[in-house]
Amino acid sequence: MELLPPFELLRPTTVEQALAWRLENPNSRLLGGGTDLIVNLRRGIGEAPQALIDLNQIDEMTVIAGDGAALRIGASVKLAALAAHPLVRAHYPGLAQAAASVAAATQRNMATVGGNLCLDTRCIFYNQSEWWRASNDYCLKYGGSKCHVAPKSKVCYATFSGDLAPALLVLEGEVEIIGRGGRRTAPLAELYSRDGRDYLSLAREEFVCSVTARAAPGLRAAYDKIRVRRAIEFPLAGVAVALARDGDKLGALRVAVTGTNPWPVLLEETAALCGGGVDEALLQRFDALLKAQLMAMKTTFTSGHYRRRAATVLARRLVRRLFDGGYMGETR
Amino acid sequence: MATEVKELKWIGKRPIRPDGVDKVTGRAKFGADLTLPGMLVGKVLRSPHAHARIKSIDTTKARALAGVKAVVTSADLPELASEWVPAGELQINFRDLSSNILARQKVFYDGHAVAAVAATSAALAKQALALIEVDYEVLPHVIDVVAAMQPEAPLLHDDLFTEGVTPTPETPSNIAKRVEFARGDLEAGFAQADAVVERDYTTKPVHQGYIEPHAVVASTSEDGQSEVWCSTQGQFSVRFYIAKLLSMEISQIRVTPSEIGGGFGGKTTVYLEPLAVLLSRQTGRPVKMVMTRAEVFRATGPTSGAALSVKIGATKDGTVTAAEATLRYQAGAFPGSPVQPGAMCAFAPYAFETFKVVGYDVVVNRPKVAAYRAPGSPIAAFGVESALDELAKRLEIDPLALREKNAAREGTHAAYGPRYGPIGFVETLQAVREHPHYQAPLGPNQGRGIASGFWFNIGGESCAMLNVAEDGTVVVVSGNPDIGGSRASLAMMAAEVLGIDFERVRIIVGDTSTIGYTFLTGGSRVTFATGMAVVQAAEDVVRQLRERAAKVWEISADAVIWEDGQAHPAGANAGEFEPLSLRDIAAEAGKTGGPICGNASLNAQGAGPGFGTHICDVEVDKETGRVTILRYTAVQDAGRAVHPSYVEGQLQGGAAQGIGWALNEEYVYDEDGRLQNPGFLDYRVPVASDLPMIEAVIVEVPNPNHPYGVRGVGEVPIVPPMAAVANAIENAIGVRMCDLPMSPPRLLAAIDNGG
Repeated sequence: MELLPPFELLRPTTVEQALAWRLENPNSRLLGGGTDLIVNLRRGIGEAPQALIDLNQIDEMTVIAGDGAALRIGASVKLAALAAHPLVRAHYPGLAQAAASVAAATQRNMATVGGNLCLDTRCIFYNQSEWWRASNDYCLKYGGSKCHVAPKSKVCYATFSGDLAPALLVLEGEVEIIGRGGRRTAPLAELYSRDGRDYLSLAREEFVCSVTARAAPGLRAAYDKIRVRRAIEFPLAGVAVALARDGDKLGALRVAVTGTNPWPVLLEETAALCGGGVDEALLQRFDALLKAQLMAMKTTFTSGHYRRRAATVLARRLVRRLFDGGYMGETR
Repeated sequence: MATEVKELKWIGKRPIRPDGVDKVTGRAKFGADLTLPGMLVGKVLRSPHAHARIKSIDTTKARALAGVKAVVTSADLPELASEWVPAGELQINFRDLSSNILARQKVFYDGHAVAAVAATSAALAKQALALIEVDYEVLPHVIDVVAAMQPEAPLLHDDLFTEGVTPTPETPSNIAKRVEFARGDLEAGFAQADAVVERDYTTKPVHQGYIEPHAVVASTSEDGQSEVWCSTQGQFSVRFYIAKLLSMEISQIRVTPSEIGGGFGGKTTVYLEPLAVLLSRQTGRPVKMVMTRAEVFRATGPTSGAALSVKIGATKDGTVTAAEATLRYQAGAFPGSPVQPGAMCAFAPYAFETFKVVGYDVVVNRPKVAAYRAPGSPIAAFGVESALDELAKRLEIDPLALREKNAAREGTHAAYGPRYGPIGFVETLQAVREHPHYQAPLGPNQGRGIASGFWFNIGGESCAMLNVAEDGTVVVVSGNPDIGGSRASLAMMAAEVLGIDFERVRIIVGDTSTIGYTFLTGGSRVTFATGMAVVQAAEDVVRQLRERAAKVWEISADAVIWEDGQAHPAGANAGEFEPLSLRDIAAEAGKTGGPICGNASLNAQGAGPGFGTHICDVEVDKETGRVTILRYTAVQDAGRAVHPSYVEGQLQGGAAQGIGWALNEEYVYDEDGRLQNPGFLDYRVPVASDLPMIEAVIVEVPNPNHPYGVRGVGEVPIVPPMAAVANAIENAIGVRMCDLPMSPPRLLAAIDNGG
């Protein structure tokens, strides 16, 4: 294992204290479960922080509250707790599925909701050791000037791989953000910029305190992902679908995808697909939407084309099964 | 040598392994766990280039850094002549081994060690590495085995002339060696065939994937004596290699093997150990070196990737009339791929009368290959067992029947030379036929494949020592690191011979100074060869116990028998004295001649060849190319399973590694020859969720050359899986996969192309 650089560990018990320390320590990083951050620090990815601010001791950030209509999840809630929560399992099954499918049990016991939402984007040329990046002249995302995925590009294509974001995007998720001006809320989709390098639209000191989701009567939602290995693996593609039937017609459709673009994609123009039945003609129009909005960049060891195609397969299957009311299991 | 058949008390039972509690509680001490006072941290600088000439190395700045105690390069290692010695199942050339440990003149792969430092902290050692200035002249490189064989390919070694061809070529090439095994008239054989299958296959290099990285602590004192603690499959090999590489006397070096977190053949060579001794010698302080996972992937193992061509012909009734294979194996940066054993194993399960196997050992700009479970055999079997499956389909014969028709039996003249003694291949096929799995129904997009495999298994040199304590308990000392449950099986054999409880036998793995020379843990040899030494040492103890009882009773030792852990007077004296237990005799040992200690040293011959046949069911998702292993059964002849749980564990572990090899494991190199996935996240070994419960079925055809009939079992189970999975995929969706790994994108592409 590579050596962990030295840092100060700060453990605030209130969001106000966390913010104050964040403002005092411009070169600090926020610690959730550390399942991604610590690995990156060991590899010398990003500047070595002066301090890690551990958000796990703040009570209000560890609470799941709500009912069958609305849900509020503290950013420090562990993924294992989210996946096992009776309210979440009963009324937000797609969210429970997404949480249960992250990495493996060991990571889910440590990893947090906020950490997964703010998960650093990933790329072959970035998630490497110091010697590797050095011998490759680093890259646009950190330390270098060239994107090895798209050499002429001025933006970074590192891919967002969090599983919770798509599941929350289709449930009209909103994030509560703590910052210099106090608390503010924003649609979850607005948390993400569309650049793989500075992938969050947060100000330097800001952090996510909680996230909300909404369920509506008749709304059916599910999450499915494909990965090479069935655990300890980032998704090649993950798809969340929420839909409602209007008799034998598609009444509402929301689709979000992770693992393809530098941000979790909330598919646009799905409303145009509503109003008719779910047949092959509709699914082909659906395919076209996905193809137009999902990227196929070579940021992982599995080609972008394969990931986009797999996302399309999963999305089709989810739409069909949710429309038919069938069982939602993970694609094997 | 075979003892008479009688009721056995321990052989075949399943007691708890002696090393179990320490391993599950975290108490076991692995390679990186030792810390000594004043210890320095050693680290290695590695090449970022796949192939380059080292123009100069300037270590001045690194040496000047406070806290840095030593910096070494290949200039600090003696230059050695080319000399091959056996190392496990492969051979090692000391000149190349030395150049692999620290590069001379040229680096041959990304990750090749160039220099090493010792400093007072890991952070300082890391800083020091960054201060070493290496001036490289980057050279063209070659990664692919077929490309490396072309005359215009970048040349790794300008003094490498192909062995095994006459006349020896006058120009150097990357082909280090050609081997051939052949019998009969190939052309006539193929002419007799009603159907011929001819295919090309490729396999990827795969890493042994041991969880524990290489780790060592070395301490050298002022008088030149060195102590070494490390994670290894063979403490005596480490001792010998260090002595050779650093020109030391063997007796000056004491090597203690730590508990080992997996080896699979990959810990039969050395990488860090000589460097740690060298750094410790230069600094006069203990030095610890531990590899990162990235270093393990960049610079150790793996086994060869290969390109194969296989052609097999048979008559309508399934009799194979001719078989031909060409095997091209990557050796990595230096000669020595397992192509020779691969060529010997290719047709070993079958009684083919006419065949030809040609093998090429080819150097490429990748890490030097190391042994990996049945080295060479799984690669050849992927081609041969896939081709046999296709042939069976062509002839409309059950693939199992085709194998039965051609199976090697006792007396068969093996393709690689000898005549087989009693072997259990046919029995594995029979067990498959009778297993419910073989007839179980399959659903849509599901398919079943079978494949067989062979490994020689080896014997070799072993020592064992049994010391009887004052209370009649027994300590066994073995010279083999325990990687597969051998402490349990060895202690069981000792308990069996002595007729005492297993719990009264304690077994330890000795260091190189506490037990006589014992060849490394490899070749599936330990339970067979060291087991035989333990049996003989226990028999030596029994002889002494009878003598002691005879002395007490004042009768002849011939008149004492040993039964159920007790000495009994026999013959004319039967019933005359109360039996004396081991405990009784041990308590009085001082008065009857001194402590009781049994010894044995031997060179075990007659390891029983091992055969296995696997059944694999898969389901293919035709839209994503994902393969799910639904059910898996591994059948193998174990000769005699001393501890069936650990035999089953070997079968399951081999199958799991083979499934990883089949489906997902591969090295990804960029166009500069740099490894892109040196970590377990992106080098995808299977995890528990990827595998069904692997059922292990043990067949027992005893090996007459072992007192309890043992055959090695650890390697055969990795041989069949790749073909078993490929055959199952073909059966499921009609797509024949000839290239590994059969990962989702590859399989989807094959489906798109209509197979």
